[in-house]
Amino acid sequence: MNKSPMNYLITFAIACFFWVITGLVLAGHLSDTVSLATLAIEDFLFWYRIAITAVGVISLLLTYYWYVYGSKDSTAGDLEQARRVWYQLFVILIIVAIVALFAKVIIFLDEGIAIIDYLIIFAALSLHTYIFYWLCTFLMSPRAVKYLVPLKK
Amino acid sequence: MKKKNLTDFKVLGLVAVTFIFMYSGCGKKAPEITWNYSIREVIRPERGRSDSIHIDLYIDATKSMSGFAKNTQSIYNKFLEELETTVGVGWKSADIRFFKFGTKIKEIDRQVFRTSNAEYFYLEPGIFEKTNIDQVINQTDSSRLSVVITDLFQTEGDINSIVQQIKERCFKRGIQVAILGIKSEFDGWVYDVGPGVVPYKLKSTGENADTYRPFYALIFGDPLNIEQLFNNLKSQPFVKEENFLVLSRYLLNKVDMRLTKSRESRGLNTRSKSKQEQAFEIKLRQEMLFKFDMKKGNNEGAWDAEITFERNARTPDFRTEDIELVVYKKSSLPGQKDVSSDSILSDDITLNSINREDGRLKAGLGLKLAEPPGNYSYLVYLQCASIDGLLVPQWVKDFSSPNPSAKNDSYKTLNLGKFINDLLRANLAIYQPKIAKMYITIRKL
Repeated sequence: MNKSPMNYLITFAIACFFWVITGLVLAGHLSDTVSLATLAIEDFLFWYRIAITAVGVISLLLTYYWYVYGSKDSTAGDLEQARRVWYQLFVILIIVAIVALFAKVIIFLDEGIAIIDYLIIFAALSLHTYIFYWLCTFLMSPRAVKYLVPLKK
Repeated sequence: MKKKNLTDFKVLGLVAVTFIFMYSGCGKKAPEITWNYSIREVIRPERGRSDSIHIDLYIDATKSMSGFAKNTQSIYNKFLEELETTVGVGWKSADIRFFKFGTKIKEIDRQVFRTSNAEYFYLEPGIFEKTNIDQVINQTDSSRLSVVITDLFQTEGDINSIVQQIKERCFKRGIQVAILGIKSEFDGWVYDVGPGVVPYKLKSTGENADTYRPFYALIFGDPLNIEQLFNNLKSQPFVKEENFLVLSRYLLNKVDMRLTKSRESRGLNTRSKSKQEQAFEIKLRQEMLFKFDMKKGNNEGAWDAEITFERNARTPDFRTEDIELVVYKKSSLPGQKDVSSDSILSDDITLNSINREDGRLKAGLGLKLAEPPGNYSYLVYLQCASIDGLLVPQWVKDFSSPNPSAKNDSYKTLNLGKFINDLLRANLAIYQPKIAKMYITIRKL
């Protein structure tokens, strides 16, 4: 499963599956629980889905970048540099999740959304970013770099 | 390692299937509720201009009216002339009938009508003795416009009888009633001024309009024809817009309604409208559908309603503090196949507060919905109170006196204020004009 193009396709399938979880199942839960001052619930869900789709696409592209980078012959010769790249991408995705959450807080500032709902939104953003990246690279990194992923033995 | 990878994917696949199965297995939805959406109870439906008119002109030919006719150049005489001309030229075709009335009603021809500026017109035996307006009201017909020219001097007993007659004959049958007050020069005797008050002589002094005495045109018939007649008449300086009163089902020319959940109402969320609902509102040029979700475990909510309106100045103003809320309800529960087309009166929604600033009403509405999850839709009216919901216009108060005599209020009309007030009450007893109409749909989760 760590060979091209299977890893690319399965990564895309996982991204879609995560979108179903967050964009439909979790969104359904949020629409039942979130309290909005003025905004229509459909508008709230629209912005929520825009956010998870945007971060999902960024994560997918960065994961693909890791697959391309890990497949290069030069990468096998400098695994320490490769480890640094993996962690850099991981941190970038954490930042992406935080920035996306911050953008939502700004957009919904007047709506008085509860902290617990923001935590749920952050969980969804996390699933699409650094968790997705870790999971995909854990399962499908190219042979040369697959043991660089944390928790992989 | 290959085997391990396969195990990982099996677990992942199982999780995926479980989530999708859970999502697709969500509970049954309650059917959507619809209404026969319209704004017609609040704003009069638009209609084209009428080409033809059937009109009956009734002249009060009792003795007290002769004082208006004495001066051949009086406003009264000019008005009668203008009335006949307006009816003749205001429509493509006009069918005019003329009557004089008093003790009885007598049909007259145009030539006789044109002698209404002569004193003897008001001295015909068998007619001049008593003003029986109720007989005229009995002859009103929704297919004809009836214009009754009179000084409206009525005792309290007469008023009750006339109001009752107008209620039965006009309001109940959808015939609109309008009253135009006009002040004219007067030189004659004023009779029927109430028990114990002797008739008195009255003469207007020259150009001093304060000494003019009012007469009235009571108009019965189709609303559009009444409007058209008045619009044609008002080119004359003595026909004043502010002295015209229409007792209509419609008090507003335009209305704009907004309903938002109050910020403190955490149990409610606003919902978007469907494309069909948006198309309906665009067609009506009117926002009147409002949709909300009620979150699980909540039974209450509150809204702020803002109603911006343009009042028809010819109709009586409404009393804001007595405005009533009337609510009809439909409901549907999950698993139910159809929604009944019938609605029931409901007290789920209450009017907590209301205040008015010029052309704007601000109302606080409360909701109590202690029912199981499902769809609940409400048709909400804000309407005038059935008792004293409408205000007597100021010009009527200015023209009226409870006891006119030679020394006091000699130029005013006996009991006009009571007459109009009773008419307004009778009108409200038949139909309470609507100020706003909203459809509020709640999806209780």
